[in-house]
Amino acid sequence: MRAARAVLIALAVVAATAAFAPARIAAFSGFGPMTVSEQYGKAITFKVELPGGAPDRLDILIGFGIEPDSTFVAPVEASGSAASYVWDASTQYLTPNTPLSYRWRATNGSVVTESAVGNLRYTDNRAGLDWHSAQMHDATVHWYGSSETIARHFGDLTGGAVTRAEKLLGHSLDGPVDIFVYVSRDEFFGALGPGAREWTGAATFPGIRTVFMWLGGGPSDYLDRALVHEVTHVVFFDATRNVYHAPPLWLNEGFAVWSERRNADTQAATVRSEVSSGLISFDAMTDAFPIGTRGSALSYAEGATMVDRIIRTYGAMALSGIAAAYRNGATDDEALRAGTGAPATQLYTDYFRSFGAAEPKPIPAASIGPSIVHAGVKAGSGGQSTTAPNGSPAEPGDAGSNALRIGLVVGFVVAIGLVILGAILVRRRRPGGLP
Amino acid sequence: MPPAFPRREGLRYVAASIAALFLLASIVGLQRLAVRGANTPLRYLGGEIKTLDPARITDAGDVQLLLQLYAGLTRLDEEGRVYPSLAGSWNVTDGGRTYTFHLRTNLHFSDGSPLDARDVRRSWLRLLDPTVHATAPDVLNVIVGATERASGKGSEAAVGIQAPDPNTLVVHLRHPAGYFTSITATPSTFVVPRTATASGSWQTVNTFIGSGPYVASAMNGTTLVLKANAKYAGAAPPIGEVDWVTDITGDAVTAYADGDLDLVQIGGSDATWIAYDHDLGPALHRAAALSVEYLGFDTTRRPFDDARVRRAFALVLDKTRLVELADGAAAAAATSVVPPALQPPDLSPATGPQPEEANRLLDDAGFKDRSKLGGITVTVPSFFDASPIVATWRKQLSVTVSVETMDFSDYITALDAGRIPQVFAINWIADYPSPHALYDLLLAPGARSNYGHWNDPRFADLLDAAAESTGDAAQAAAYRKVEAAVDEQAPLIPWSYDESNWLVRPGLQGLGTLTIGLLDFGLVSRS
Repeated sequence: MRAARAVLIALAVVAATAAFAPARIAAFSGFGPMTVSEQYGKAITFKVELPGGAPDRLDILIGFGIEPDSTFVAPVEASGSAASYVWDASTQYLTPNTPLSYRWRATNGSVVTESAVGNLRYTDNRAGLDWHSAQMHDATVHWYGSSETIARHFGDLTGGAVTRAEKLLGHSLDGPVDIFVYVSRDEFFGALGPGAREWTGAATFPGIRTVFMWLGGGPSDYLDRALVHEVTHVVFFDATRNVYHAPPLWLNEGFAVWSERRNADTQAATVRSEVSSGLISFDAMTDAFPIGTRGSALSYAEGATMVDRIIRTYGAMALSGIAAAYRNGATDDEALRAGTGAPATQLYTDYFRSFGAAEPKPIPAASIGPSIVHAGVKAGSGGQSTTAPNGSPAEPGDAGSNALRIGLVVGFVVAIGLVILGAILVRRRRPGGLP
Repeated sequence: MPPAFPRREGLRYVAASIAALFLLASIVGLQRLAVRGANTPLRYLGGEIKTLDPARITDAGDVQLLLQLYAGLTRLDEEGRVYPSLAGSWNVTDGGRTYTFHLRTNLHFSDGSPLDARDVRRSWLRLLDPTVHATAPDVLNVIVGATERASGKGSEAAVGIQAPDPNTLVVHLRHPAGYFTSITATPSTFVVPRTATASGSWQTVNTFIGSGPYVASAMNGTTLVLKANAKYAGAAPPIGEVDWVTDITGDAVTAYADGDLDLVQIGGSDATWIAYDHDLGPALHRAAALSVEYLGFDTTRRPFDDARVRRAFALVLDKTRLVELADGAAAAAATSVVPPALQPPDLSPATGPQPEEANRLLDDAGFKDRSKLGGITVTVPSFFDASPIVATWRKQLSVTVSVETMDFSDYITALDAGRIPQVFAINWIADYPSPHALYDLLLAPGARSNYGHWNDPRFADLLDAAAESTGDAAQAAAYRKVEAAVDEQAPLIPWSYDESNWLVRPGLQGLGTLTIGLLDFGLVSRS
């Protein structure tokens, strides 16, 4: 009887609960259509429909670049029958021509569901940039306005530059190169994003095999050399690509500069002119070049002349040996040794000797003095009764620092000395006394 | 005729006046020199201000800022040594289990309101209050009842913190802990004003009330202006104003070279050339960080619930070579989760990679067919490059691994919410200078930051024994056992110890080892 009553009560509770329960929230049932749109420099907006409702958790997974080794994951707030995620391109710079692949991931309880993969190539679609393209040898050239002729000229130059670099590095280009030709400075720097140096006339993003050229960057011979320089970077990237260690910047830039003319005569003159002021250590040019005009110019020049020296001293195959070693995850010393047979330190020493220059040494750091606020205040350890020593930080109300106190004391002593001196002078000036 | 000064008498007065003026000028002048030095702001590139609440510290930048704004019972000098701060002294009794702190008299918050032992107790209980959702309540784990309170299972009354009078704080510990006065020097335990609430928004720059050497005075564009706190318990800071720069246009090196910054941490790529630069070289200083970068495993789910699998993934990595290749001189391979500066002697011998042993362990664990491991996902913050590690695992262990990256804030949110990846990476800075700060917070069963949920009672016993040990030799031996247990069970893989690079304006002193978390600007002066 008691059991029957309990059942009746339970049924009543269930009925009441059902009657007053809010409308049932739809359950996630999979992904509907998904879209993506971009406004260059502003936003990339990803949207997906959720026909059955939102899952417990929703993420978007985005792969940036060519065959990315990692996927960026962002949690997405989802409710109702659709969700969206906005990549704020105004604060998170993304290089134009970057390929993106994306998919959505729903986690509902322990069930994980992924959507199909969508793709997008982030395009510089700013107003007025009516891009045209043409396939030229290893390059696809892109231009707008009336730049077709020069763009095609760059395409022609690319073929030769790639072939020469491939031969020296012993590695074929892994894929085609995109070359974008910009007319105006603002449009060009708008593509490069924040942090681009003012003097930049061309730039390469080898990870997405993309070169940006600015027609206002210099005269035509400069632009031709810049194109060769930038394309060479892409070949170098492919030839040395590995996940362990990036080759030193001096080698990368040095090879690109050397490739412009296939010699380093101009750069050797630059180095010679700077010997008296001191050259830059190769260990100092591994990841970044010094700021300032001299440091930057000398870095490029030393890199190019070192490459020139390696080719002349150890033969044309030396660079391919170096590149192959980097591809296999070598250190700088291992790679240089693999290509030349000489350890890196020997190469550097020989280089500086060849210019009659002293080998650069690290500059010792200035010492940082101890704090003047307190000295040697320690607490006892392990079960000892400990009391703040006299030298501990002052009690509240102790206003001055030691420096100030010392300054005042010294000031007093000096001043009192001057008073005494003044008094002596006055006395000496009254030999006869007052009338 | 009106009386006139006799000429010679006049000369005397003139000479005396000149001397007096010299006296005045010397005093005033010297004062001005000192004051000018004090009034020239120290410009520090501190980065984003994420919180003004000691209960919500999430990274080293937060530690660095809140160290300036609040004070605790003790404090660390620039070398990391404990010295008395709000507490003038303390007694340790009950075999090391009871600490009685005697607070200085006449203490005040920056607004002039009184500060006493009850405020310390209130601040600590707030840290442990589960409704506050503090980020590091674990630092007080050693106090009786603290873990229970933080997990919501215990009451405030059961926490072993008493303030029997305004100048006395009595703390009961679960076990002796010689490092306890280091814990009381970590900013999470610093004293907050009575206006503090459970929310994260009670403290603002405009209404700031603190207890440290500086107070947040104003936000001037992208710069937080810190002014010396006249009510600070310690000596008045020699430098009257610190400009905490949150953002700059362009790069940090140029900003330093242009005189826009006095103290700035720079990247290793710039440090390589600056080391040889005649102008900037003298300003370059390298410092070992009290931090470790490690890879953690979710030890509650297959396949990493098996120590053999975890150990296999650890043993196969040639950390010395991989870290050198990836970071050059900017980092060193980690041999323990404890950074070198905090390691007892001979804590952990460096060992080379053992790929054969690693593969044998995987075979023994039942994964001779590697596909049975399934696809393994490594999830890391965007700034962490997992490529060399993953490439090694793929190549040497023949396993399928994918990498996911997240913005750091999303990443930490996910970890704190218990969404633990199979393999994750964290850069952890020691909360206080003791090996315990790493072992206890990252690996103790139930610790909030034990993200991998490793639960090994034997390790816990060894750790307690290490805490109770006294004397250098005994402590070193005890921690060696702790480390051996970690090495054997591999709940995590210590990856690297970072080296930080700084540009320091010549003349600054009192910066010690330039360790983030120890940079107390209240101790800094200009020579």
